[in-house]
Amino acid sequence: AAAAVVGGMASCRRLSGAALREVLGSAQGLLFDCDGVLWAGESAVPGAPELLERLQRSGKAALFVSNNSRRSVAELELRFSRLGFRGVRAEHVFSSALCSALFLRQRLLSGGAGDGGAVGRVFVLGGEGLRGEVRDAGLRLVGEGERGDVQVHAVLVGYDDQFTFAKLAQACAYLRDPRCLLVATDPDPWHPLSDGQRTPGTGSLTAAVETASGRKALVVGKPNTYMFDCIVERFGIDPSRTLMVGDRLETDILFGKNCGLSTILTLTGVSRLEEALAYMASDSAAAKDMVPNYYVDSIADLIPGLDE
Amino acid sequence: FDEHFSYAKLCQALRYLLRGPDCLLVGTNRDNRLPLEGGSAIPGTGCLVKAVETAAEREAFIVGKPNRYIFDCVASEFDIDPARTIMVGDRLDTDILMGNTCGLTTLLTLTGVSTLEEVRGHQESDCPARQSLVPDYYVDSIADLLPALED
Repeated sequence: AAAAVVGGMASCRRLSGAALREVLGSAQGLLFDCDGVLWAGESAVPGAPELLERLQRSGKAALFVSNNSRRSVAELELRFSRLGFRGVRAEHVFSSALCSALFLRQRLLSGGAGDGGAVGRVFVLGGEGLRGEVRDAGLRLVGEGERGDVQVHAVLVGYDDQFTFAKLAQACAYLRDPRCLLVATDPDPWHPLSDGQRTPGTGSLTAAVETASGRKALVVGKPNTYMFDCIVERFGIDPSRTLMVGDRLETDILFGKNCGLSTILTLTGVSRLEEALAYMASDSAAAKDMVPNYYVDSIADLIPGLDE
Repeated sequence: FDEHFSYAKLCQALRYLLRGPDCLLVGTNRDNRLPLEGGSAIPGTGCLVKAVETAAEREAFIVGKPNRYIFDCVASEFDIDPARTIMVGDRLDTDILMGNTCGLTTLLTLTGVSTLEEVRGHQESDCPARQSLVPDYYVDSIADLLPALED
């Protein structure tokens, strides 16, 4: 593992052979991003289900951390199963939808709301999966177009393919009250589609809300570390014995760096190897934090690192 | 400004912009808020421009104030001498900034967005960028200009 860090910066080594066996051998568990790592669209990455099965048999933990705020963890559990991954339960999956709900519950319901005990009311810009997680956390949703004097305690911006100017205006009206929190599920500017196109991400919608309100959003998802706190709270993992596996340098790899995890970039998703090498060659400290310790063409390449 | 802005439109804009640099990204202006009576405001065009810029990871060419393109349009059309022209506006970060950077004399009227307190704040700042937001003159309203024009 020491060979993959040069002068404090990760050195983006291809992970294979003896190094692969050593790195996986000493790891207690792996955190996986989902989109672009385990699957792309509706197809599992070839070999990915087998990798997870082999990890299970080797007694190594596999947990999942995704910036995707579209689905509830219950829906994600079904998705894992549908795409051929066995034994993944909802409790193993940390989505930005779930963690945003947990974050809001912590901030709004821990007795410090100062609203005479009123339950936290949240205006959610997002789909049914995100809204469900917020509801399950014990918070109340504000309806679209709702008027009235009742205080709104937070605006939550997520992936919202029904985003409109009217919703943006409604969010900004609530945010005029400085006590109303502005929270975003994740910073992703876009996501790849299976036809090579891109779809705008939460980051672009958050930029609109921030510009209109003059406020900066609290971002729950990677590369920020809150989701890791949620994982540690539930499973108590040791970062020095855990690997982060992801496909996006600006979120997954930086998240790993921020949480003290060794990082593996897989090339089946968003980021290209050339981008990692460009960050490595950059003078900026911020760029160097996005260089992975290791890379593989696909996570199936990790299988030889485990005992037969 | 698009009160019917939607995710679908944002998606379509992104699709075109991804075809390559031959597809220009242009914004009319960056105003973040349009004030309404009573102190409230609606989101301005700047928000929509930011959403597209973020998704496309590209910067827009901004036509409107404080950028100088819009002034250049006026100047070329009407043969304006900046040294003999006054810019009158209510917003420091658009009207006054444009006037100052284009070499006009700038006059702030207090019937709109910006306040005198904001001006003082910029004046007292060490930051050169903030100094460019300070107008040469101010009036409470443009009606205050009438006495200078009466015979």
